[in-house]
Amino acid sequence: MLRVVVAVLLALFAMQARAQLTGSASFVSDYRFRGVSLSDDRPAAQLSFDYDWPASGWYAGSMMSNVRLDSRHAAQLLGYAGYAHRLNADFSWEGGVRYTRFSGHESYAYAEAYTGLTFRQLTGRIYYAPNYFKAGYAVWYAELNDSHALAGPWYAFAHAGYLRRAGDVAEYHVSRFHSDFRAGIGFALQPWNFQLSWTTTRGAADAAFGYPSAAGANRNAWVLGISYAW
Amino acid sequence: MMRAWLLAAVFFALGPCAAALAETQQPTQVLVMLRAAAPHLHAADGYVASYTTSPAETAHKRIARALARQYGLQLVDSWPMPALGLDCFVMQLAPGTSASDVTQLLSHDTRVESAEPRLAFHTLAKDDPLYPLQPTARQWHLAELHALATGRNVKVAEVDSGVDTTNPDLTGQVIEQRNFVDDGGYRAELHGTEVAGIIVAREGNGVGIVGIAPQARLLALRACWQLADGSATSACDSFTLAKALQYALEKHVQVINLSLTGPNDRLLQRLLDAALARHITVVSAVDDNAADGGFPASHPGVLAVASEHSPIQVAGAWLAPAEDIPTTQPGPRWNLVNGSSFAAAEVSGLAALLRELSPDITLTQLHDALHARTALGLASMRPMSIDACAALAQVSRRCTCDCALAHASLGRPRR
Repeated sequence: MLRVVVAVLLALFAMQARAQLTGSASFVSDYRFRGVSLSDDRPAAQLSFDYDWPASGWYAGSMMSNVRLDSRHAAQLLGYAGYAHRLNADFSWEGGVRYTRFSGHESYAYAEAYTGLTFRQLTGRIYYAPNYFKAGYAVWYAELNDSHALAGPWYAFAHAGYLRRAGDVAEYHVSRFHSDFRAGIGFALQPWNFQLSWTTTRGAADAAFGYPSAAGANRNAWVLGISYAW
Repeated sequence: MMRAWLLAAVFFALGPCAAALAETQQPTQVLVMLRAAAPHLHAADGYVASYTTSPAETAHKRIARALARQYGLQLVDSWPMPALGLDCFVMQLAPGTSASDVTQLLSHDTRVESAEPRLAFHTLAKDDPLYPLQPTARQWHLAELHALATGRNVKVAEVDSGVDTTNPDLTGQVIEQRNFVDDGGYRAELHGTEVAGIIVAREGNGVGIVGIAPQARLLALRACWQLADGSATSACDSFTLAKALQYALEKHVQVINLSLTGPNDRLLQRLLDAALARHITVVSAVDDNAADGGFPASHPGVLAVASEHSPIQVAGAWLAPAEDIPTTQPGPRWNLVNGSSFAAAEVSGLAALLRELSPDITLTQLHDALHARTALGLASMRPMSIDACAALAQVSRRCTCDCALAHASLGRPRR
């Protein structure tokens, strides 16, 4: 076992020289995850780290965010790792896994796998979580994201997501689908990035998908985001 | 006063040499390329896959600053090259250090994808315009070509010095002007304006000339700068050219005109390969002073264009009129110009006509259309004249210039 650990550490040390670490701190007026507020319509602060090994295609990262679940404050810890490969100047694909847990709310911890294809600024991804928010059923989520450079540092972006849960939904008397949309403008002045967007959701109630209850949270929201990278 | 006039005269006489002189001087800056990861999921990326808004750009700058400190360089500038999956950083050498030594050291650094000296380029106009009038439009039967195509909706990127759109022949013909030379405003200059007129000058407006592709949409990308007032001689470098080429790729142009030359450069070669992989027609002027036509004309896949009276014979190059070409100048002025720069501009215009008729035309098909083959159907190893009528007739499969298709099949250039 010790040998394995030493070998992994040596490998990481060897890769260190080629790795690129990026840190970023963000403030959002409402932390919306797939259209659902995880901060109970309140502001949230986030800290994230991305680790890239561009020569090999591997990447990993983590994020911490304050959240408010079931009317209680908590911290979200998220980690992910994956592989991205550039097929040509326009196309690239990726695949990876992501794990999320919440302090004091272990019953919501879940893992999911994803794969995606990017064409220039257009990215499509499909996620599969066998036990979404530990609600006992599998969920598929598909998303399409696009952004477009405007004049100077301005850009516009849009997102559409579609979520489908497995299992019996009869008890909720609702459909098994949930969609979310987001559109906004951004202003990138490295290392700062500002975003203002409008987000909305459609479909069955959040509870049908295992999301923590956020009393009073709206389905539509304006979201302001400010981030600083280093 | 007399002394001032003499100095001015010497300055203008030496103008054309100044750019070439710059190419013989040792580079004082290096270009350092860092790998950019392929677009991928981030924890908090806000749904934006844009390269320039990615936080990774900040990480690259931090690495570049560390490299600069380690190798005694000064970080000057940077530019993302998403077409190559790279970030390009410009670093100033310390006095007395050799660019080749530093690039060699940098190339062995695991953080660095590649490094190269920032090289000088120059445009290929000549400053002796007083020759008998020989209109290009007449040789290529322009009016008849325009009955078939005018370059409508074809995007042409002119990578050159600045273009003056106040000339009546260019007003409304340029869809975008961008400056890649410095942080200052866009400047109107001679060479860029002259090349632009040949490609897209307005047709039927009662003044001036007719461009080869008057309805093409020109992107005037200023990557070169005029060395002296009144002289078309302009200089560029590998970084300004790379930025302009990257922008042309982002804008999905169909044709790129490069009426300039310089030494072989790896970064530019890679950007040209990226352009060619996207089926962009890249046209470059042949340098009469280089046996292989100079770079980028010598790059495989690039349409190299030489003057009909070029003293050298570059295999695979196309010949086009390059002497006494009437064209636009800044302000409401026109003049006759000479040089392979303008032959290349004509072929870029012709490429725009062909791309209008056949938007997905491949490089091979384009060569076949332009190529007058020998009687045995073999490709000639000599520079070849272009039969514009036959090229359009072959691509459109329609009759033009009293049915040039017949001539095309016989492989005889028309005059």
